[in-house]
Amino acid sequence: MTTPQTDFLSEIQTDRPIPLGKLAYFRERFRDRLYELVLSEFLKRERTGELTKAEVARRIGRKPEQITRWLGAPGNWTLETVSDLLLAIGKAELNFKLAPLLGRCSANFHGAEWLYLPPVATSTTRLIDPIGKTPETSGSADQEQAIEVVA
Amino acid sequence: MIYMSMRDQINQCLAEGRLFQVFPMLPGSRVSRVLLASPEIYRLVTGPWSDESEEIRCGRLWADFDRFVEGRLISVALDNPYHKPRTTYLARMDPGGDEVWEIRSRDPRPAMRIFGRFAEKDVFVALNWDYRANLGGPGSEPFKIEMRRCKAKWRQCVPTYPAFSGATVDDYSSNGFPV
Repeated sequence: MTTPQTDFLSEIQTDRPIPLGKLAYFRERFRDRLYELVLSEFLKRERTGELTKAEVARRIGRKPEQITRWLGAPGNWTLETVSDLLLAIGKAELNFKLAPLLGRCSANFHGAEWLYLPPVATSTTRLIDPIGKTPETSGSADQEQAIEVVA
Repeated sequence: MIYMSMRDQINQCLAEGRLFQVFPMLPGSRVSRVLLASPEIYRLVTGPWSDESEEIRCGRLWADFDRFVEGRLISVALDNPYHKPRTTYLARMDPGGDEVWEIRSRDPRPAMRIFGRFAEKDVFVALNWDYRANLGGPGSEPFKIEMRRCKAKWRQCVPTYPAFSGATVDDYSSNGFPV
């Protein structure tokens, strides 16, 4: 079975309200792509000995541990964060260009030539059981935070 | 007796609907790494969901999956299961010899953990999952239970082959950086 790619853009294509899950998907994708851009620039310069986190911190008046947190994940980034990091790491700014989502060609390569590629599924073939799990609620966020720090 | 390679067995699972390939959501996006998912994982991203918060959470999870599938930069913890950075994307669990890995989808809360094994370089088979809050501390019994479930599900899909094993991050994944 395959993921129904064409269904995914249907609301965007037809000007209908965009479901929350898709809004969430694009927010995360946007954040991820910015993060990858900044992080890959930093790693490239770090590997050649051009730059360290401490140097980035010095350039933008932050503590090194703040830079470590920012380069670890983009969860708390603001537009100001992106601008500061790009300046300090890449000595650059973003070059903006819209990439239309509609009219994109379907990919004709699915990652490995040996993989079985069944017919494209439609929305009617989706699985119907709910995901069936709930997170523990009592203090779960705090608990996770504490556990993650230790881990 | 018919000889079946690991690839044959995986393809049989795909043909029978016991595994699904997760593609990037956007048409035309590159597929640089292969993510195969059990029905349990696949339904996280295809829905239906019980409420709006679950739909939003799973939308973000799908974006996390796309990071892997599209071959974007990922952080990988190979040998430090209890001292990895909180923000690690992909981590091998303890004991490393079991070759059970987790994709760590941390944001937004509730965080999720997707357990699976590598079939070969850049081919990850995601088999089971749980919310992080249900799993207790590092090395806890719930984690061990999920590891056992993961290995059992692997044996159902690929009964005669062990999971892929490597020595470096690059052995498992392209465009991964060790943490």
